[in-house]
Amino acid sequence: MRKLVLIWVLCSVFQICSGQNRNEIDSLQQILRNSNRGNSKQISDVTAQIAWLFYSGSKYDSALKFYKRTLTYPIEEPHRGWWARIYAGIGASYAALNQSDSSILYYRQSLTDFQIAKDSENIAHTSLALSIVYKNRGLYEEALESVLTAIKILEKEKPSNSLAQCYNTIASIFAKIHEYTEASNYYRKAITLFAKSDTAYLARSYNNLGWLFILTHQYDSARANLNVAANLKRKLNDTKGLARTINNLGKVSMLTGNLTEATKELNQSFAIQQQIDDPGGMIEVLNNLGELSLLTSTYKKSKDYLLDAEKIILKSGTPEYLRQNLELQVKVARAQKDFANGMMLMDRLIIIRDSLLNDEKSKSLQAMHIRYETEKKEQQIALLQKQEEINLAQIKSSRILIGALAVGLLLVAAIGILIYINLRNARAAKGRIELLLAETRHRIKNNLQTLASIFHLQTRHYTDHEMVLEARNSESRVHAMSMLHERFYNAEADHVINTRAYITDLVHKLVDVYGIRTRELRLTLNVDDIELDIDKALALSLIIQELVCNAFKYAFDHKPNPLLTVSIRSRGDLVVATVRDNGIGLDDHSIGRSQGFSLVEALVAQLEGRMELDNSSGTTFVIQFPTAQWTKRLFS
Amino acid sequence: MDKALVLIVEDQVLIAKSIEAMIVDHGMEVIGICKSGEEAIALSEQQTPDLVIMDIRLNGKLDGIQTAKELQLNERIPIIYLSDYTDKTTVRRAKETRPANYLSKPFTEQDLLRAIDIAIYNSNELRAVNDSDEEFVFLKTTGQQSHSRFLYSQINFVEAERSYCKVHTPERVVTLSINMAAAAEQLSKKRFIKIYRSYLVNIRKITEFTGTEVVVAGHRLPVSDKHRADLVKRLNLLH
Repeated sequence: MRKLVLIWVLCSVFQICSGQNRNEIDSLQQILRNSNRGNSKQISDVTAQIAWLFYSGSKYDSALKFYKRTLTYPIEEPHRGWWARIYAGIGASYAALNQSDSSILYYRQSLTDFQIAKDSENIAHTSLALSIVYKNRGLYEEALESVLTAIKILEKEKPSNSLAQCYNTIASIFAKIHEYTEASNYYRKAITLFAKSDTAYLARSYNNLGWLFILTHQYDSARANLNVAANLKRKLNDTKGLARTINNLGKVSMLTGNLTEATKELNQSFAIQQQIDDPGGMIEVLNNLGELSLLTSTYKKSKDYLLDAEKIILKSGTPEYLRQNLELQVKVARAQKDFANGMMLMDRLIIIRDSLLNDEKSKSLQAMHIRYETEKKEQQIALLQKQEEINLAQIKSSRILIGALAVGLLLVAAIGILIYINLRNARAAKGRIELLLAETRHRIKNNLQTLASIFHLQTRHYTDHEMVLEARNSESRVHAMSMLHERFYNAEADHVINTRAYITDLVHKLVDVYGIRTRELRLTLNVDDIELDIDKALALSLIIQELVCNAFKYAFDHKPNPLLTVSIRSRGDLVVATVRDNGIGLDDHSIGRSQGFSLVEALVAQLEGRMELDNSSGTTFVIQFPTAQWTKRLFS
Repeated sequence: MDKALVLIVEDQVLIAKSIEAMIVDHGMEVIGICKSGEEAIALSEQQTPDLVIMDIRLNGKLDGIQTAKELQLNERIPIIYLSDYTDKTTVRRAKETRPANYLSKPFTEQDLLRAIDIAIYNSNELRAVNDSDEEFVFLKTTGQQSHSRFLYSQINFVEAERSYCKVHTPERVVTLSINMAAAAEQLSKKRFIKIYRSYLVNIRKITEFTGTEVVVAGHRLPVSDKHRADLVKRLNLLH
């Protein structure tokens, strides 16, 4: 219950009053009467609620009574915020009753408590309210200071209606102290903010801006703004505001010399003022009517209006109104040549003027504004500096990052270039090696061909059959070697020679070279797939070449059905090569003489093998040699 | 019937000489041994060779392939490249000149002769298929196994004899080392017609046609039923 009431109270601070006000007050007073046994805080809450409802219903005296009653209840735990609100309510009530001194007192008390409670939002609101009171009281210095406090707080928040009201207020203050440029700037700020939120205040701001234009003698602009304000107020049924705006329009008409229009407008405003309770509005319209009558030379009438105005001013007006009123009265007295009265009025006017505004005051006000502006600028500068520092830090850190990245990139690039150079060098080296190898290969082949050519040419010069055969044998040795070379180069993967393909090729080539008719010769080849390194393959090929050539040279001389068998077999760690023919057979004598035979013996020795010769039927050579040490790969 | 003319382009003189020996041994004629491409071009302008044996690596500005291109500007001369130089670019360049054959060093006499056989056979066949107007054909004769150049105007008819065949010219009868079918493939289809199982006749040499016989340079040759219609058609076309 207690909490509920409290929430209700807090919410209702911002509630707009309604027709149900009276009923609510009654019911609350009922609660109050019934809650004598309740704690004092609860009673205070309800009392404050009642006071607020009275205030909302413009019953300021009653509001004041209930607000003050809340102060009489003892409260166990003083709650600064709560007290501040009560004081603010009292201040507002006094302000509404035009008792500005009391209002200022309570508002200040409220402000102190809000400051202790560190409730910045309410500090702003209260400062604004206080500023308005100060302004109306002619205390522009205090008003300006107060409103600047509010603005300082509110500008940190999101743009709000309160901020707009602050702008409106500060603009009015500037207008009063004749700082029209500042005033105009703040009015425009206010208009911008109100345009989004509050039409009533928007209308007021337009009105105020119009009034400002009157002060600066820009009557067309004044009329335009006032018309906008009047239209808005008509829509809003804001009769009080409308009366003031129409009054201002009348003033514009009067100042532009359109007296008929001015009379019409001012009378319209006066008629409205008579129905409502707005002392300020009434004073303004009476002052204006007095001035208008002065212009139309109806001095008697003018004096009546002005005296009526003076009465209200003395009761609840501002010194500013009194100054205007007195100035007009002085003019009327002059026109009526009533100098005695005029002198008296002048004396009063001088006092009022002095109290209102002197150079010193104006300067101090200026200084204060400058201080505020400077402070604001300094804050902005500080903020900018901070941002700049942050930016610098960011730039620095991003510089470091960029630097690091650049260094990283350079490193990567350097490594890339090194790798590329290495690769290129390797490739170039490889290319050179390949080129050299190709060149070497070409030269070997060309030289072997030259050698073969020499032997071939020799065969044509010899007449001795033996010599021809010998030359041809040499030629075929060269071919055997060159074939081996060819195979060696083409064996790309591992530099080993496949015996089957090579020996088969070799024997066929020999058949070719010796012009043996394949049809006549029965050739049997049994070659196992043995891989030999090039040295060993060369030795083996030369042995086979010698033995086969030998058979071709001697064995088949006029022998029918020549038969040749070449077999190379793998037997464990041994290679067994057999060359057999069915020829005439070799005698020991011819063997001893044969150059080819001694060559074969040397080659067998090189292979660390042994050779057997069987002369029984034809000739059979059997050569055995170990593979173990020889099959090791050349490049492995 | 003339000997086939061979041009040897090879900067290694000994190799060139041995090639020359091999060629001459087989009844062909060498018109020159050139050590450079420039020399070869100059020589062939004086006397067009029937076959060129060309080393790819040569002394001088031009290599074998460039020289071959030059030589072939006027007419397609069969070329046998002679090299071990077998990198991809060279092979591709060599291919563009459509060589008759390619012989890798070192080579034996038999390798060379086989390469020449194939080169000449291919060029004959190319001529025969293209129906060109060339007036000659190379035919391999027995004995030296040589390629001889026969003018079409000199061949009266070809007579089959077991696995060989004989070419009858006005002067003599030459035995070829190839059979009738192989000879028919190489002779111009436009000029020769088979009239009997064992006779291939030069149409222009037919002086008489009786229906069952033709007379060619005084020889009476039989016409088989199988080939008669074709012969009549061809003769009509001529007249």
